[in-house]
Amino acid sequence: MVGSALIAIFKKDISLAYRQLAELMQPLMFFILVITLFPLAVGPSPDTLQRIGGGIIWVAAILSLLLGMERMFRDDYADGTLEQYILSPTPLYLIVVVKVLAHWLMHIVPLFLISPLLALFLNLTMDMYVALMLTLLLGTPLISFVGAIGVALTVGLQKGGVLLALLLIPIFIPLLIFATSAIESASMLLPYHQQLATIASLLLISVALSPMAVAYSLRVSQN
Amino acid sequence: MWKWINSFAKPEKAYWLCSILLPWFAIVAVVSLVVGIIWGLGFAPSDYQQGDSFRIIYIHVPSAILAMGAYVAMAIGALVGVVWQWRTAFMFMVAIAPVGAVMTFISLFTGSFWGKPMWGTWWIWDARLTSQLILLFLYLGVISLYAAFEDKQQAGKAAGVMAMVGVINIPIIHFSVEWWNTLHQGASITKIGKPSIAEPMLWPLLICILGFAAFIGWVTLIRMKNEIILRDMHRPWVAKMFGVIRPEKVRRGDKILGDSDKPRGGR
Amino acid sequence: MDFKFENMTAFFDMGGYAFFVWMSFGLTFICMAAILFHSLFMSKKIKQGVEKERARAERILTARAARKDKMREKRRIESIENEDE
Repeated sequence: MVGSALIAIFKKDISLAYRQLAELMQPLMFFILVITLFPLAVGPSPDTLQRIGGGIIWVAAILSLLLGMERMFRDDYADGTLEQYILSPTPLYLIVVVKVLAHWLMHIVPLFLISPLLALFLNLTMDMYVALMLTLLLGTPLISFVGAIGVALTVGLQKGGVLLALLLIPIFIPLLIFATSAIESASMLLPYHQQLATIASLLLISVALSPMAVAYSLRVSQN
Repeated sequence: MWKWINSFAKPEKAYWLCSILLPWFAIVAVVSLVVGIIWGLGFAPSDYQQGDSFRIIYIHVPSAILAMGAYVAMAIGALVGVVWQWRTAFMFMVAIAPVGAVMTFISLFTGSFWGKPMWGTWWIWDARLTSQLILLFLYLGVISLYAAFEDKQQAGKAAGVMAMVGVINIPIIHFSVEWWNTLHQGASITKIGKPSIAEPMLWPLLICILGFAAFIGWVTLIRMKNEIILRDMHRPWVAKMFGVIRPEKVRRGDKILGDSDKPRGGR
Repeated sequence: MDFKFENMTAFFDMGGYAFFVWMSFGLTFICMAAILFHSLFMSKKIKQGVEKERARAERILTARAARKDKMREKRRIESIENEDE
């Protein structure tokens, strides 16, 4: 009963996202554009680009995911579905987990598909590319889960967009540090298990705790 | 015991407690700040390496430590508010947030003024300064989230969630101190039992920490009293406190102070 | 426990670091004073607001009482006039 409801919500979110492909593409376009700006701004020297490439991709990924984040609960809030979720016998935090996973899947798969191209743009080596992929794989669900808290808090506000970034960017700083340090280690052919393990542990903590915080925040927002 | 603690969830009891505590905090703050700073500036020996510029420590370290302490206190207030539904806990949270932000700001620019003669530059991206900067952003996030809501009941809860999310960042801040280990001096006083700074320098520092803590408490109590009155403006107990004669018959829409007995949500 | 500087000039010079030391102490003092006085100012303003509301409540009540008296007086005069007729 609970399982089928969750699967239904998952399917609904995925198909909704597919039908609004244009909206899905906007953050991705933003991601590519930001990365295109950097070689133009700092010069096209391959060495410079290789040194700052990992950091640029991560900053751009965080910003573009923040852009797409807002729609996680917005439509459900606007049409009253959220209220039904809150009232439904299915635990709200399970619904939150499903929605966050669906959102993550729809936003990260295009990012993954586009990233080989960007690695070429920024002259990343193969090792750096592997490290980038691994950190993105572990780090982006962390962004989605933690970001969902901010989205849930600001969903009732009309002017929530900038506030969302203001709330969330400081929280993502540790993630950024560990991810870029992993890529840097990879560029020097050093092991980077430690950074990956740290990101993974942060991810596990956020998966365990954030759905509860999101559920509470949604109740507060719904008032 | 539990019942006694819970009685402070009532705004009038909390207001009473604030009024009792306020003068003590004020006295301790003024006395120990004056003593600590004069002692630190004039009577503590100067550092053999840094000369007299190290005297900035007497405001830098207390404000840095207590900026974090105030954040933790704010998060505890948020936790109490969320778990036990205390309205006053959220009021405390809102009261302490700007004070903590000011402390963080003080620690940032004193760090900068200390860094200029020592490192030759106003700003260095080292672990401590960076994490203080993040702390300032976290404070500003909580404050602006609270300000964004019209309904302050809702605003308190939302800002409370944000404060608790941010407090998870505090261990990560400490972890990042271990992670990058750069120019800034090692934690001078947190090594309990074996402080790396000499005793004649330590005493004024401890007095200054006490003074800053009492100052934070003092300002927070003032702000909390403000917040309580502001939120409870139209409740009978405020009316009684300010000596308002209650009309025998209140008409609807009178908006007379203390006219609405029904609480506007929450306790 | 004695004064570590030879004279007040040396004290204000702070071993050549006068600008940094006095600037940080001064700005700290300004910041702390600002937050303290802002809080006190707010509490004064809130008290004034409460006082204003109190005065308004009293005004409403006295006006209501006065109106009541006036009406009663008017009715009394009217009844006297009626009796005269």
